[in-house]
Amino acid sequence: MILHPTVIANLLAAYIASFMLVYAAFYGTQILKYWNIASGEELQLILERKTYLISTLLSYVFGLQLLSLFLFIFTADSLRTLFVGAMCAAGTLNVNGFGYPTLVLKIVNFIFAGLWLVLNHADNQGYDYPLIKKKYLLLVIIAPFIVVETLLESAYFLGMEADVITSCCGSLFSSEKKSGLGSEIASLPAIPMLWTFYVAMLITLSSGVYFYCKAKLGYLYALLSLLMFAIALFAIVSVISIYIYELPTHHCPFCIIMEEYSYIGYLLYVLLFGAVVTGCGVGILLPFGNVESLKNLLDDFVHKLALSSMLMYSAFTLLVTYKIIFSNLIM
Amino acid sequence: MKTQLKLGLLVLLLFSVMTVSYAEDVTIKKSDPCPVCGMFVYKYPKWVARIGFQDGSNYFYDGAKDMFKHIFDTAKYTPNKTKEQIKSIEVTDYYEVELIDAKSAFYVLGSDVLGPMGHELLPFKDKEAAQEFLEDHHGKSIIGFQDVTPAMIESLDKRE
Repeated sequence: MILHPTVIANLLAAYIASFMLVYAAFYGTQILKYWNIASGEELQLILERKTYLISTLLSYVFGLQLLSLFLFIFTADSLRTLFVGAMCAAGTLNVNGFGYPTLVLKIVNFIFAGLWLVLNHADNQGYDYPLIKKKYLLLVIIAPFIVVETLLESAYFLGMEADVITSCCGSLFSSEKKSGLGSEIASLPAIPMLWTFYVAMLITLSSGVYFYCKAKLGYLYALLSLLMFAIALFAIVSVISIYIYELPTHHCPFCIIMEEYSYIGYLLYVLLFGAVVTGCGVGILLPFGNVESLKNLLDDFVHKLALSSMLMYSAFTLLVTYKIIFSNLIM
Repeated sequence: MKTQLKLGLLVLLLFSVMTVSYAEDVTIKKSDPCPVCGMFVYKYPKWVARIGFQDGSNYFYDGAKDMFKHIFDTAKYTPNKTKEQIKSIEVTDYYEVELIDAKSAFYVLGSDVLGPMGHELLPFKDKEAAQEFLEDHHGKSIIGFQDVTPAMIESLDKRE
């Protein structure tokens, strides 16, 4: 194990989140089983009181979960100097077999946590706990993922050995080597990938505008925003990165978060993750448009979500386009 | 006479401007990445290698290994350039920590000293220094610039 302040912060955040979630999931199952708003029984009163505590607590835990993805990337990036061969977070994550699985789970949990916060916000708008069972069902689904993430993250940080020679991102995301997911994405043809990105973005944003104006096809926008998130990540590795680095062979999705590139990666990823959570949030709230206590209120919130998602995707596209236009890359 | 003097001064001035603009800029900037791996070279001054091209452009590397990769496949890393356009190649002597001509340097392979990118070729100006290093750091062989092969460079990328 390497006793670095950021490692301790990561582990502490993971343990706190897991502990709180297991506690909340325990009450979550009770709510799922025994919740009956019409009842005046003691158990129902206890659950009603508990739900305020738990949803406040979970708002903070899931907020922490959102931050923890960026803290994890930041940590991997700042530990690069400790490992021979690591030039950025890509090398540090490759120090042992748990780095990348932790990252993947953190990305999945980021989206889950964001969606839970959206559902919780909607639930709090109604006076009669309209979405309480759905909210706690989602919590019970998420909790095991967060616990597994904590286990993997612990294995990753506690199993770090300083004397390993790791691979640098140049070889992990090489367009020549055909082994490994990173290299396979990197070897996707650059220009067709760029077209795919722009066409997909145009379709996604058009569907978003259509939903915003006509209040129709909301599910389509939610689906497209999720698809767009994956396409954008592929495009970063395959083509956007080479324009930012101005190097025809450098496809790393992590070097862009470094100081030398003005931390542009953080901005790109915040926009991308924000856009996918708000975009999918539209889809998760649409089935509840007819709930009595949420009528009118939910409509407004869903439209705000769609607008934020579109704005974030647009900002992402503008930023990427700016970097491509002013890049000195020679292909 | 006065006009001739003025003309002479003008020619001198033009000449000096041309000399300055044609002088090679070989200092590493903070924004210079290694064209092979993308690392910022200024962070590893002990390992710097440099290739200068005929058009005046310079590329810096965080070790001789990446420099050789660029030499063996120049067009891959710099699409508009060829191996034949290379004008000068320099590596940093491991003991003296100064740039030396790469073609006359001696390289130690298989030692226990690792560079920023793992296993490396350790460059030395003279053979005695290379021999001394080989003995001190369990090196396996000393080779010249011409003896380096792509397979040799590839074998250095192993992780053990």
